[in-house]
Amino acid sequence: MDMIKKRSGISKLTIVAIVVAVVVVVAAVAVWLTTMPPPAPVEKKIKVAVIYTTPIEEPWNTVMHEAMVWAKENLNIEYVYTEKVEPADVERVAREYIAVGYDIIVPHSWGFWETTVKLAKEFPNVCFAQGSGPTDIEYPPNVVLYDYWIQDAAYLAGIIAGKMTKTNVVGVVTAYAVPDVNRLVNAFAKGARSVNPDVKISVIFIESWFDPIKGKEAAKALIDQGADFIYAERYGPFEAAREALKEGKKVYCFGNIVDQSKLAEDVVLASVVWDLKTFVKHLVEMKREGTWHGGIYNWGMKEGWAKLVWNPTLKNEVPQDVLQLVNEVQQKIISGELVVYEPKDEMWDPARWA
Amino acid sequence: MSIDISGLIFSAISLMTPVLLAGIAELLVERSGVLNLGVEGAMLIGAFAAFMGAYYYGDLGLASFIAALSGMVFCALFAILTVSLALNQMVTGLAMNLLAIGITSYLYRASFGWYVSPIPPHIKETLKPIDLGALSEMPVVGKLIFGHLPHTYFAIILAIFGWWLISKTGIGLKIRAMGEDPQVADSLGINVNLTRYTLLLAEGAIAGLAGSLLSIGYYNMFLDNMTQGRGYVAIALVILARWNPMLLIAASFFFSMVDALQLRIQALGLTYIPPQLALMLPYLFTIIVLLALGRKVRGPAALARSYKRQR
Repeated sequence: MDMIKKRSGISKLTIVAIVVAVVVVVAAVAVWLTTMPPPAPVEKKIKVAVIYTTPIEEPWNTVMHEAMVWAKENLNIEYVYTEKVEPADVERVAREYIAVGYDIIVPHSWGFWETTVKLAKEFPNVCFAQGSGPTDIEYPPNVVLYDYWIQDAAYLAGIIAGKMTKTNVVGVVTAYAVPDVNRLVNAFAKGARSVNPDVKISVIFIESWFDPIKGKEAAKALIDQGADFIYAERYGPFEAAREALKEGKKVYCFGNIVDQSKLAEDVVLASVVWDLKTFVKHLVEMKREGTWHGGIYNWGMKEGWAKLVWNPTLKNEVPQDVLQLVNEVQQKIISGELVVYEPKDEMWDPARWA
Repeated sequence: MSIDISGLIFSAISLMTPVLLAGIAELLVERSGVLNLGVEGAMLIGAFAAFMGAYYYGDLGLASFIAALSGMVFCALFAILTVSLALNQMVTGLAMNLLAIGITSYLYRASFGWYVSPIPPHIKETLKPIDLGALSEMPVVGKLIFGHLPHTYFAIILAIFGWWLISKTGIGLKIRAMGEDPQVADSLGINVNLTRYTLLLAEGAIAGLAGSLLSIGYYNMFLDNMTQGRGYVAIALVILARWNPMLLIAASFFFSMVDALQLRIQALGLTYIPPQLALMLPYLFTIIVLLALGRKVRGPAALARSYKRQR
């Protein structure tokens, strides 16, 4: 018994010591913890999958890719993509992404819209952002429709051309007479007309999204017709303008979708730029906050989505009054005083250009 | 407003050059009884190789040489498959074209990184027209006739040479014989396989050169599938020209002329001509010519037929 008592006495002391030590440690940790800032709640990564129909080098895709890469670095998203997907194959690709839990599916081509609508109905919890599609149909509530509504910037380019042209002939080299292309061509023409009622707009469709050789020959045809400004909606005109420059003819070009002044610094006066960063940010925030709502997003200059970007090396060749006018009109567009877009702009109607 | 005729013809000659080059090479090969749909792929390979050569070495001559060489290697593969192994020529040709699209875009990415932006890699200088001094400075015709890239003159000379070779020489007779019936030609002691190999290798080099025009001659960059079916156009023009080299010059010139014309019709901005109608013209022209002239045309009898020599 004694042995046991004695032993238990020692152990009591030990227990007290341990308890005191534990209490001290716990108190210290508690004090330390309360003085620490609370840990940030772990934010869920939004998983975004983009499907392109052509290589990402094509400007239409480049813009989306750049915005997504930017979002990946700044907005805590996971970004994957598949390129060169035929419209017939998009459903398989999209389903694979949906099956492994992607939150936002971005089919970035007109040819994909029917699949998008079909899948959006089947998967109401997945968000879709469809790149271009008809605007006169009803989309499911989880589908956002966007397109390169950069007509505000094209309008400004038209003003520059209309003001500065010496021959009163202004050309456009473009792909197909489809609504999203017509919108830009019409805005460009309207801009030129607004400052110069005598200007003639010559438009050539090359019937290909990418054929720089054809585009170049088209631009040469325009230059032969006297055009001294060319809106290069597609690749091709820069090289034609350069050749004209070697022969002593000054022909200015406007780049399209991305800032293309680095591609031909001697002929590209400015570029009609599409910037999707604000849009992608908006999509990610909507998804994160659970406020996703579909519909048509025809943003413009005000939202920072359309921009006119000058070529710094050629900007000094632009007269001061033109620069000032462009700035004024830009302010009007941003304030909403001037609305460039009209529904009839989506139609092909050469009578408005001649 | 009217159409500037000299601009039109100049543009037609520019558009003609790559298809005439590829076309004459294809014509000779077809006369020997081989249908090489892979000419499109050989052009694409040439366009890519030329661009890479020009981009990394800055020497356009070297770039053209690399283009010809890689076109040749590409067609050598086609020759091994269809001549030595006697595989189906059409299937092999189409497969080779898909291979060319895949391999060029893969190597492009592998060299320039998986993402090239926003401006694709491009070269500063492109091929220059030949300078014939006083000739090139003559009014009107100077630039029109003497202001083109050397390839244009090479293409025309090659077509005339091809005509001479096919219709005036013993070698031409042998080529035609194996195009009609390789077995008979073989039994007469003509080396069918060697001749076909030679013609295919030459075609590869010429088609590669034709492709190089696109990426370092008329334009300064390479992008995915940039030949845009020009090899197929060349094959169609060979049929339109009834396998005759002299007619091929005419066919490719007029086809390109109508193509250049439709661009100019659009540039006129006539409201009563929709662009789709103008865009249709080159193809309408081809159909009309075939209807008018091509009804009794018969190609080489053994065209696209696999031939394996009896042991």
